[in-house]
Amino acid sequence: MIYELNNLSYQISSNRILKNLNCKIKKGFLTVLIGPNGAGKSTLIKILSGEVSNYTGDINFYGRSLKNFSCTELASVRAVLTQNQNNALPFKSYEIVNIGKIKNKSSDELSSAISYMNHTESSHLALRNYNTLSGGEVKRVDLAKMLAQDCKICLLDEPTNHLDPYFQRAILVKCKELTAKGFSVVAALHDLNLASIFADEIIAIKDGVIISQGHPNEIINKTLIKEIFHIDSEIILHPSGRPNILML
Amino acid sequence: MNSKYKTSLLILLIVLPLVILVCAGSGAYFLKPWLIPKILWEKLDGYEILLYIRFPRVALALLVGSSLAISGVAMQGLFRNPLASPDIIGVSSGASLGAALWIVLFSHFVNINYGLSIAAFLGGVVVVLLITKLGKISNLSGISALVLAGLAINAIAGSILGLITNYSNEEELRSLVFWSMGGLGGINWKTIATTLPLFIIGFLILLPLGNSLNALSLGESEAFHLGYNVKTCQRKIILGSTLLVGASVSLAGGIGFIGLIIPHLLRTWIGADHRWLLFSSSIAGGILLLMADLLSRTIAIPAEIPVGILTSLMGGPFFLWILIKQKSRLI
Repeated sequence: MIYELNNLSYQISSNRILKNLNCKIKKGFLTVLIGPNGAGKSTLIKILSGEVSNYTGDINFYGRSLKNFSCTELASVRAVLTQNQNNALPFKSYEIVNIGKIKNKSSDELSSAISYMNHTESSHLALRNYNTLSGGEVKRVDLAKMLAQDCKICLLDEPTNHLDPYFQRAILVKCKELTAKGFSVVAALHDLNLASIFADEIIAIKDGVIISQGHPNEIINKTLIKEIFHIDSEIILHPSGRPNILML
Repeated sequence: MNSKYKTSLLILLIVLPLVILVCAGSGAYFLKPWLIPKILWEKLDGYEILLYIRFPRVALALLVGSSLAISGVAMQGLFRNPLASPDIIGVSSGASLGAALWIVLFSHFVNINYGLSIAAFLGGVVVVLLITKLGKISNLSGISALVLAGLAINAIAGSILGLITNYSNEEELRSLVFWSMGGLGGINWKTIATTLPLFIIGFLILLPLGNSLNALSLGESEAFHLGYNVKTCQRKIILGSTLLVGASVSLAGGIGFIGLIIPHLLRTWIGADHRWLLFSSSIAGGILLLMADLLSRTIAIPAEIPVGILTSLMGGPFFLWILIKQKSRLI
């Protein structure tokens, strides 16, 4: 168990974003958050990262209340892949990766950065100006930066945004590799089939409430898809043995 | 830091003493730069000029030039925008207003040494306190609130400055105009020594912030995720640059664009890594102001053009050139 949410609620002025969430996020799992736009997925990622802390209720993190962690402590245990980055300053891609390398700094920063970029098939971009990269390239460099932080817990907010099908899949394969090594990954995803095929556990959220949580085989069904996304669907079996959702 | 950074730092460190010697030697009474060490050592003819006129001026140019350049680097990292500078958050106009108020209102009644410097510095500090407070009251956090508050402060300070200029007598007016154009003349070691602690503290605050600035230039939440205390970092950056800009304005008046030109040139030359940029900008800023000052006092011997006018004359077109070259990428 890494995170244990007890009665977690969060509101911005009178707008309640998350309502009494109770759930556990397990160690070594790829946990995927699914839900429509505005369901509260990104907010939950922000709360789990420690960035947003004015919630009510409690989050138990490694046996302590998450609010009691300092930002330095948090940075040594969890890394975050955020959405939309912009940087008007002309950093090289490898320098961006290096900014993520906060522990065990190496004197040869270029080759240290490239070793992480190899994992995200972005090492050829190392000397390119970060500003001139395409959306998908930026995402891969950012992912390398997240890996460089070398944390056992990875929080990814819509990591497949801007990526082509090949890299969407590659990023989830990478996540599975990480969980196989004992890392825990929490990702918010929009692609239900990727979620279903790769997740160890899915948390389905709508309007700030957890509708369902469990293994894809247990919880993915027509009723859930209808309830969350208002889409009629047919569930078939994917060769991987996981449910595959056909939108009707 | 990679070898490219080391090489460029080395080049700057070699150029610096050469520029110092040329600037110390040049002027109405010319001394050959290569003879300067000998003159100083053996107290030959020109020793007094060097020691009491040329070198204080060189020291001031170095201090002010590096302060403005390093504050520019810090502000641009903080705002994540290569067009940001200390002027944006209103520190410079606050300091100018403080100095103007001193000239017109207080200098007639109170006669203390360095009253102008103190007033200019306090003006800068008041602006920073005000902006921080405004951000809190309006419940706007983050950099955009700071920029907007800075915009308003700049407008207010500008209009009060105009009002003061409008109602000042001829003598005050001359003093105001001369001071607002910026110049390094008439400086002595005593004045530099009194302000030196402010410069030292400012540099000690800013120089170690390379890693924090790198992280902050990815955005506030990114910096937080990497374990940096964002509020503390931002406060340090603002405090450090206010000290340096306030101290600079109080000694040399309004000298613009150095905080913009130097960081930009160095970034284009080598790269954006702040660990390197903070050091190299400090050196290069000093070099640039030294050369500008040399130009300002040799271009029309025996008359002297205010150096602030020269830097703005070079900096304005440079600013426009960046805008045209980089177009939308800067926003």
